Amino acid sequence: MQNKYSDTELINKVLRGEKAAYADLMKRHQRFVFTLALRFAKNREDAEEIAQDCFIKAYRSLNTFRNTSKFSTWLYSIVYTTAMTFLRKKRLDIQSIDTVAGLLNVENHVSDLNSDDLEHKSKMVFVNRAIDQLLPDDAAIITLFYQGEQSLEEIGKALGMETNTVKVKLHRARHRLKEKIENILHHEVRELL
Amino acid sequence: MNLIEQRIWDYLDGTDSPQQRELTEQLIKADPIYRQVYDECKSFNNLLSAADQDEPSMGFTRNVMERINLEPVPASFKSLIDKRIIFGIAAFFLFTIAALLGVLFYQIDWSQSTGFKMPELTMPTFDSSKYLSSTYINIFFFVDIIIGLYLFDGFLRKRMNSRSNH
Repeated sequence: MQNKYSDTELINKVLRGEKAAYADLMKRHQRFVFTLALRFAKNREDAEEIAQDCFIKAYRSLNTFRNTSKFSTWLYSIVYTTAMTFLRKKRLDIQSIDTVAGLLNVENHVSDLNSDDLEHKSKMVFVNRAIDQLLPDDAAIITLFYQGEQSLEEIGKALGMETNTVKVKLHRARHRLKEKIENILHHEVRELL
Repeated sequence: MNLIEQRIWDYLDGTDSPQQRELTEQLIKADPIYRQVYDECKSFNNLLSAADQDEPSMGFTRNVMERINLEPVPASFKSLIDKRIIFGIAAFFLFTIAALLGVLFYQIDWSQSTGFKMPELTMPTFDSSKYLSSTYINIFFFVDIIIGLYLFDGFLRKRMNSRSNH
């Protein structure tokens, strides 16, 4: 159910002491925050830890949020710094394809899906697998642009980059992603044959 | 990435100038290569836009809220500093100053010269060597340095905390 309050109204409620309003704010953003965290962490457990830390940090600093940007942009900047700190601590091998263990498990839901859903899901498995093979910055930019519906300027604010840098990085990330998807599909076809 | 592809992406993202946009639009209509690249980029765009967001575990909200409930409510600057309070304090001080000045001017007898003379001040002689030896000065500077380092440490800790919170 869509909450009738805007982000700003919910934030004001939290600052007045209504902690329950934070749960509504969190429910609105948690899926995307988790998706973005997953782009960095590459597995669900770590992504969940990053997402949780991110919401706690956002709560602690909620009084410093000024309405000069969207709440989501501010929140994604926290996800980015939290994920970077986490990666530094964990020293994950970000390039490794073998660590792609947290992919969507389509098989578990097969019985509930019709053929269109199945086609969509299988396409998305390839897309997600390809995004996971990108460098964290590229994966984050692609995710923020397409799934977060953030403008280039907002992505720049969230990741602490110039708008032009984001534009160039987005072009390159799309190009690399296209190559990765083609490679994956090529590999799948070869396996089928 | 070739120039055609770059131009098409700029067109699809809406990051090109109006003139460039018009030109790209015409090229897409007229040039089959542009048309082909446009179709490819558009379908790639649609594919990425249709990507689903992942769902965290069922207990995600509950886990975070459990931790949030242990945290103090972040104080709002707005609720702490109400504008009416600021205006109230300002009005009180302005009123007090105006009242004091009013009383002062009322009590001055403007008709007579007061013949007021400033009193002569004679400063007592002060022999500093009695109280200030080099040992005292060294101790004074040593304590100053300790206090300075303590304050600097506090400042660095605050900065580190605020960075880790962001």
